[in-house]
Amino acid sequence: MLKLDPWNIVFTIVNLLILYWAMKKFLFGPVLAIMDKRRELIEGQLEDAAQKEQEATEMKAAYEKDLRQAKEEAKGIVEKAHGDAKVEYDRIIKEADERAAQIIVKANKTVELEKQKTLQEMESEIASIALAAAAKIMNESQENDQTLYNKFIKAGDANDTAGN
Amino acid sequence: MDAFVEKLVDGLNEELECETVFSIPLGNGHSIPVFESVVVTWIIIVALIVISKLLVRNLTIDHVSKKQLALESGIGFLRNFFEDALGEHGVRYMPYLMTVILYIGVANVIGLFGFKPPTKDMNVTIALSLMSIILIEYAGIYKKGVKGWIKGFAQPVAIVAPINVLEIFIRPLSLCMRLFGNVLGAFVVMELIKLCIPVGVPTVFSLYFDIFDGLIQAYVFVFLTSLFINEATE
Repeated sequence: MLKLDPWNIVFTIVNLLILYWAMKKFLFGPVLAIMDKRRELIEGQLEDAAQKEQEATEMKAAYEKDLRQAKEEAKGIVEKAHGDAKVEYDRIIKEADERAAQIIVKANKTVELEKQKTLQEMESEIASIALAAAAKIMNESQENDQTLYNKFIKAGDANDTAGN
Repeated sequence: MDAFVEKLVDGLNEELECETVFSIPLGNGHSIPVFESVVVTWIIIVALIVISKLLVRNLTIDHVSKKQLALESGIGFLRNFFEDALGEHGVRYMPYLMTVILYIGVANVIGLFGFKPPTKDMNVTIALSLMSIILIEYAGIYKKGVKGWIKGFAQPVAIVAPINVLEIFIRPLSLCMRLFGNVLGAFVVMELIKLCIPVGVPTVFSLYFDIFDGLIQAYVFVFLTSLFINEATE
């Protein structure tokens, strides 16, 4: 059992080297290679996924920013429209007021003119009535026409001013 | 009683004898004997190559078969173990140590198939430990250069240099003797049990002495070699 033999030690070393070469070539090499390849593949996929997620996050942030901007813009537009409408409203009201005032003034003037016209018409009517009356009276009293007329006018004028 | 002991000793001697399977004649009257352990090692090599070829067929990255899954788990376990034990500079020696653990593991349990374990022959354990110490020192020289390797003997203080030099001889000797002694001891105990109680009992003990102890010794041998390589390359 304890036969030591250098040749057999050498044989065993050669055997070990052959086994090492064979195992490296037939067992460990292919298996480790395929394990490494799979690990690389998985790492690549994970990296890819992380990158895509980051892109998605960035895109989401951008969209949110755009949306916020759009909302603010819409709000601004509505506010501006409100302001414009207010100005327009005020302008229309003011214009309407002015026109109403103008119309009233004009109406007043027209009424005044009409009044004066009516007064004048009434004066001339009254004059003619008075003339007719005077003529009638003259016929009755046989008095001088011109004197009586003048007397009547004077009396009428005095009445008129007093009446006003 | 004496007759029984004599029979027992004879039986043991026969079992322990490492037979010469054949001799290579040198032509000048001498010849080189080829021991049983070397021939069994050839058988182990052929068996391992055939099994490897069968296992490694049709490896794929996805749609992994159960066979491949088992293979990858085994190799992955060995890889994790050696990556931890060898350290980052020693990883390049991993395939050799994987080969050695496979060889010693198979060699230790091959008794189950009716062969004599090659590791029971001291020539084999001497060869294994010689390879280990050559690898350890080579790893140190490769990492540190010849000067750095020689200076390494005076670490941490110069006075321990003789002890560090002695370690070159002590380490392989202890590796060799531990493996040889354990396998031989297990073998002797098993033979004694078989001679005394041939039925039933040996099966139970065989689980421990042939399988568990054999695999533990393979583990211890490569683990220590890895530790020494890790130390040498630090």
